[in-house]
Amino acid sequence: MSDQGKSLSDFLVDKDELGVYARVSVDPNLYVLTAILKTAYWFTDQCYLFLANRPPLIEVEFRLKQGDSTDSLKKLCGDFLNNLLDQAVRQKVLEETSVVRDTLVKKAFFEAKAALSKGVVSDESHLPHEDQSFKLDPLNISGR
Amino acid sequence: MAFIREIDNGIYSRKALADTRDAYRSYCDVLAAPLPNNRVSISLTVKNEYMADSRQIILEFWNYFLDSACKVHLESE
Repeated sequence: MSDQGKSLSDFLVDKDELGVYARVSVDPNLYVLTAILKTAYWFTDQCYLFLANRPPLIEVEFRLKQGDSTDSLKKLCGDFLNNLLDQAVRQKVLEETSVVRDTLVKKAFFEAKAALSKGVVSDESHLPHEDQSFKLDPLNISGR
Repeated sequence: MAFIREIDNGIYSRKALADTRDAYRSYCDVLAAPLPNNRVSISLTVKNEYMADSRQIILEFWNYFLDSACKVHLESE
């Protein structure tokens, strides 16, 4: 059968006991689970979401917090898929640059641990001597 | 009336379920029954005093569960 003219996102709108919902299917081989979860996390303040694992796809179900407008649901799905693509690219870049990032962090910590340069010394002249105690109170602070 | 859904532990972790169940303890009863292939059947029963808001409670439960699952997943990375 030809896939010509068929949407790859497999968008569906239906109704059940909780109201109208829209569903899109995403391929976890194309979009890693981390990207799907990060995107879903950003959408939980706008709508109700549910993820179902239906191998080889992951189905994402959307419900509006208020109302049952199909157009709003379609827009949500479209926005979700765009954001998913964005997250997937970010995730890929994150993976590809992880070695460079780790090296930079290690270098930064290594430099912070290095010995102080000449001229930078700690001024410890105000530290109390062994025979001094807060009980002596020469400035009578407790009496003020 | 119980609302039943099947979840995959690969997406919704056990820890997230425990957190969500705890958070919604006052509003609904949650029954979890393990199924083959790392799946779990979740049955939600909204308490009588909150029946009028059952749709919102059930859907908020699933959103909270998803948020917790995302946090658990990202922390484990």
